[in-house]
Amino acid sequence: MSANAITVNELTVDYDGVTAIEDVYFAVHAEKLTAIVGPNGAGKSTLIKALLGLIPTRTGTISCFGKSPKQYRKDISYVPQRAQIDWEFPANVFDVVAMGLYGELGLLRRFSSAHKDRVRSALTDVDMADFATRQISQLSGGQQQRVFLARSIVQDAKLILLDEPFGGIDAKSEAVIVDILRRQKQNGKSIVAVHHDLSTVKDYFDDVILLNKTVTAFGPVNDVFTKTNVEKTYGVSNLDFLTGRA
Amino acid sequence: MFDDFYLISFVPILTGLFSALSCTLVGNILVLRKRAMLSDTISHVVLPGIVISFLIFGNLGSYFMLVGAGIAGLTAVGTIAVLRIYTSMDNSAAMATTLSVFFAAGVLMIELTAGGNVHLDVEHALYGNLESLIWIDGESLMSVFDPVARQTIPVELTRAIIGFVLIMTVMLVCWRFLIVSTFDQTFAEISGVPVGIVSAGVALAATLAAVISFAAVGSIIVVSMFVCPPAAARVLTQSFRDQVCLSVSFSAISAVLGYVVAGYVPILLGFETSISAAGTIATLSGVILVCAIFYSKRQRSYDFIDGHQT
Repeated sequence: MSANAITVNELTVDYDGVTAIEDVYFAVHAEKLTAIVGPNGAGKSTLIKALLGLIPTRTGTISCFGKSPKQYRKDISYVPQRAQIDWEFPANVFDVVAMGLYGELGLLRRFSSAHKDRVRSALTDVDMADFATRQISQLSGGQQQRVFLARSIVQDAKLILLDEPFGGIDAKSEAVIVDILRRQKQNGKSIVAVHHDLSTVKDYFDDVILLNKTVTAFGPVNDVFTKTNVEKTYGVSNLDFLTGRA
Repeated sequence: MFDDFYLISFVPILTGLFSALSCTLVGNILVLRKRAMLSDTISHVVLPGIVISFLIFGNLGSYFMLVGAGIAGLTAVGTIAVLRIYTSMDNSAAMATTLSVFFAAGVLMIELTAGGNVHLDVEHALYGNLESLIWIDGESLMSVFDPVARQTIPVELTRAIIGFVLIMTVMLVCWRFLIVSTFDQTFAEISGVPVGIVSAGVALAATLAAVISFAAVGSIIVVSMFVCPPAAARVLTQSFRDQVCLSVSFSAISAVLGYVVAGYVPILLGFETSISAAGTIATLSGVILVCAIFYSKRQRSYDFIDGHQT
């Protein structure tokens, strides 16, 4: 049995004065691809922010590889939603991936040729090595997402948290990104992604957490991602198309 | 006509130059953070602080004036935060409200108290008093190395140089943190970058640049130097480092050329008096911005690829 990457117990978080998630508990297995799935307003983003230690929690505990939130920051890498970023920012692909090393380098340590090699190697991992000098505004949505994945890979964190990695990108790019995530998993990374498309959950992910303010169910997709559980999470009863892909 | 260059022009040119450079350096960050309005706000709200310090200490040369302006600037930043948190006002509305009320209060204070004082009136708050920075003992470049002559260099220049060196040093040292927290704040925070301190530092640097420049060059130059050179460089380059270098060049060209044009061109053309240096410098920076936009539009129409805007 593999160890847990994340263990969450009785977690309640208020956001903007409203209880966003309540009494949430789940475990994320290490070296798996895990989806967080739920309707709009289910508290997915709040949960991510809480896992990252960006917002205070009311009750409950979070541990990551057996460490408390303050200690595990360096073990986590975060890939934000593409829409939250100003892609007109004056930077090229290499610059953005290099930002993954700034936390480690601090202000004054030299950006050495070894660091350059790490950036190039991460770009190769996402098949973007030829785009190193390309301005980020000149990339397609899928390519932008791959650059962010490279920035995450260069951090060499054990856990990668992604907020809707497939938002607004085409099917071909989606397949490329899934492939990258699977390879990272084989390299020993644990990956958690907020995911919207119910029809691809079973194809892309090993485990799933069904969330709507509380956790409806969590575990391997084949056991947990059932019509009953999904309907319970979304509060609707016409999701028959899901079973077709089982 | 250039005989008295060191007496009347040397100090104003350098003061204008270093003030402009300080504002432009910070402006690069503000423009990318979409906080350019902050420079506008700070450069106006410092007025009541300056007036109050002037009333208490009696002259504009004192460092207390800087403290007064600084306190006014920070009070305004606090007021903006309070307005945003306790009302449903958005950021720009909160800034616009704060800057107009503070500036108006400053104007009222001047009218009610200072009256006919040459150094403190509304006109100088807007246009500054670059032309009044006369270096009594300035005879040639060698005067800079003469300790006695150096003592009569107006304090505004010394301040502008100190402010510029300070801002440039901090910016170079914090370069990485500035870039990553401006591009992607959440990612920066998780990477261990102290984003709160960086944001406060940017606001503080903007206040410092505005306060140091305000008394010498007035709010018109301050606002234009914060925004125009970085915005012009922004449309011409695709790397942050190039943007900063280019904006600094534009800023320097505007400051030096603007002063020279204002001071000498009208006289060469046979007019009796020169025109406002601050106004000319600010206008020139605007002209550079317009040229940069037209130039970049032309370039872009050639590079339009794959339906993605370049």
